Amino acid sequence: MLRAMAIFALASIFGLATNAFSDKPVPLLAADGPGAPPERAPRISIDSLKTELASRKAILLIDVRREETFKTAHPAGAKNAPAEEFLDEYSRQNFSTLFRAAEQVVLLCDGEQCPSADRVAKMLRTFKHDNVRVLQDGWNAYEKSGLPIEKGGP
Amino acid sequence: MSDGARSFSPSDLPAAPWVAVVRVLLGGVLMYAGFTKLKNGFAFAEIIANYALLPAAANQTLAVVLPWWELCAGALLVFGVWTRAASLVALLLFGTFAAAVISALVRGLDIECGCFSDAGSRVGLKTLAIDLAGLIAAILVLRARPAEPRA
Repeated sequence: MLRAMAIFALASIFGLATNAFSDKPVPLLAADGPGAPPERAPRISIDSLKTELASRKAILLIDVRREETFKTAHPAGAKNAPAEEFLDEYSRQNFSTLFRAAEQVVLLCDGEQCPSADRVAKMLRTFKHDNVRVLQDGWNAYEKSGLPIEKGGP
Repeated sequence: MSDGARSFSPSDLPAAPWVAVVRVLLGGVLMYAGFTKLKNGFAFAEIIANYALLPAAANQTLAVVLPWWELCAGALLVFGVWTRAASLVALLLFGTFAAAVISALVRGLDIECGCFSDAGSRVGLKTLAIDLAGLIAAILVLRARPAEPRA
């Protein structure tokens, strides 16, 4: 038991020391550091999405799930930009222009709650894209909605 | 081994060869898991934050120390030093991971697991299975080794 505590203590000292001397130390106590829980972005329900699509509003659907998952099935016309690589995809797919042309950008992920999409939405707000919402219940809701689905790559 | 004074129990049996295999595998997995998280503390802090279980400062501190807990416990298990203590650390780690994964699944969170930071796999039943396998391996190693003299 003592030795287990010693392992935790020594390893923690290693970790804190490595962090203190690293080029880019993690701010341990910062309330708005990388460990801050993601802010919840505005949601759009699947019913509202259906109505807006039917009214031919210019909606851009961005699927932030992983590429393999996207390829299995995704909303017709959606673009894929996995949350983990979002910034790279943002420049590669020229989202800046696309987002400004769209009236509404809707992010789609897998689950009921979706911190990854919340983070993406927060990042987009810093780029002054304020027309971004996250689809409530994500793919689960879309799949059951009867809206068109595509398979394969982007 | 001069523990004749103590009463005999199954946990006093000498470690069977397969336990050594389990121990080295468990240690190797922990070392790999710790190593993949060392590269990017920022990303790992975000991954922990996505579980929405702890405040920011705790997530950030955990992102800095947790990879080293895994690395140290893993190395000790691989080399067979302080085996009981290291397997106890492994047990606590995998137990906590399993609990965090279950809580994420119950809340329907769609998040990256953070198990092996590189892989980018998402939290799901597979993640839970890995954590439970680690937990069982840690219990096996902990129970199979003869008790060490008190520190």
